Amino acid sequence: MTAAPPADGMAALDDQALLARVADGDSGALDALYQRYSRVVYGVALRILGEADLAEDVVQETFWRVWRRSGTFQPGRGQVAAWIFGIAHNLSVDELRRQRSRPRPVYDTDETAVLRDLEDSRMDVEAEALENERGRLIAAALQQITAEQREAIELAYFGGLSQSEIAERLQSPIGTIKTRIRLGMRKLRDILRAQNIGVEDITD
Amino acid sequence: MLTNDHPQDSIPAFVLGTLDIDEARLVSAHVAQCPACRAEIETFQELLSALPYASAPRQPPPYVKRQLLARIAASQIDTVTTQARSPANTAPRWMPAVMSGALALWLVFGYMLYNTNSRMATIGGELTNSQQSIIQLSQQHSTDQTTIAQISAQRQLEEQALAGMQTQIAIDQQVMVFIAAPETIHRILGGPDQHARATMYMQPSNNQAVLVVEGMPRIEPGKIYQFWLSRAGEWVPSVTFDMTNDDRAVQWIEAAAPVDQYARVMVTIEVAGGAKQPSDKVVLSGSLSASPPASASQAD
Repeated sequence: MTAAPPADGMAALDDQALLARVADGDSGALDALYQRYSRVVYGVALRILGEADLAEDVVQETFWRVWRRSGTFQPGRGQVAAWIFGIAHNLSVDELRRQRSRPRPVYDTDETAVLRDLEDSRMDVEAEALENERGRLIAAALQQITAEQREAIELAYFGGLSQSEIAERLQSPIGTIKTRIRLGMRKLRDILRAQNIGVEDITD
Repeated sequence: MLTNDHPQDSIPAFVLGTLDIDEARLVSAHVAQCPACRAEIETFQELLSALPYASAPRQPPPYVKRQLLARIAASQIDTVTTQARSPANTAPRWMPAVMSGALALWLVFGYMLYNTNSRMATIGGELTNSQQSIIQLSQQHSTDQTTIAQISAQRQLEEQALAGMQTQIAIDQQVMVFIAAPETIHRILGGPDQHARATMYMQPSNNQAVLVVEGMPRIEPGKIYQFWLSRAGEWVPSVTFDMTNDDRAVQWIEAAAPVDQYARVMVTIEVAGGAKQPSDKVVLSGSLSASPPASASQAD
């Protein structure tokens, strides 16, 4: 069984309009947000957790929380995409920390995810365009900071490590790591703000 | 402008979620009452919207969305069910709510109910035909008592089948109500075969659980699937089942102790009739202690 795709009109709505509908109990609007962002959420969760089953749980839990907590989102405080990704990132890092204290089952390999991906490759055309555009912009921005800054930010975001853990991992003074993250993040922010991406979310 | 009292230099690490816990608490407490620092945080919104795209997006398997939508449908049923209950009239009134909500739950159980309902409709139609045949034969004063007896016997069988179907529907409804309950949590079981998968629905301090299994590999004749729970390092045998007729099976699990007292569960292939000790042919397994990710504090 495959759930019905979102109504045609949904794809044309911007994130905030969709989230407002979700808050009114419209599951079709949640479906549209899922079409738009589930691939990114899954990609991040897989990168952080490395196991398809856990990443799938993160995807489901993320959009479940979007469903339950849509009414608490405050438009003035940020973008819908950043909010969704924040939920997914925190869930992934929390789970990663739990996993680190447990042995891994032998059969959990990333290859199963690749195979499962073949089952359903349908995706929203606009979501694909958004992925391509944002992927290109963030890749270009990351090229403009130093390799050391990139490494520290990557260990923080995708490795779920705190600054002191990164310092330990890289055998560097904590002050050095803090500086790399601060300067790297600010530069990335400035580059992306100059590009003005994502300010109005995708359809405006 | 920000002054030295503001943790301005910590905000990039704060939004990245990489501050060590003590510092994160301090910054969080400050930000909660500092509009200037919140404004600073908002300047990172574009970056936080874009950074996830640094990892290649991947299509999640289709059942993730199915389960999500089923969960939403179940929560809506639960809402309707709760609203439909009244102190003066509790027992019967939630049934219509569950029945109408069943349409939404077709995402998970539609296939199962559809099969049951369509088979019941067929049997019901046949039953009506049988009755009409008997009436016609009687009206014609047919002396062919043998035919009437045969049709009556057939009708009896159909009535038995109908009763069986009605029992099945009652069980399906129990499953839906269990899954829709607010205290129900779920665990995913996986295994070496990427198609095989199960979701276990359980409740705190409840000996019962529901197992929904799909995509299991074919097993040879004389073999059967068996469910196991592990407690204090020992595997306790539970129900056996086969998948010969359907792609999906729904099993009620009745354990000796509350299910949340068990650490792990698994499904193995055993000789028909079941085993006391599990074989090494593990098809699915999963941890019950692994709670779903719990907090998203900075995102809330």
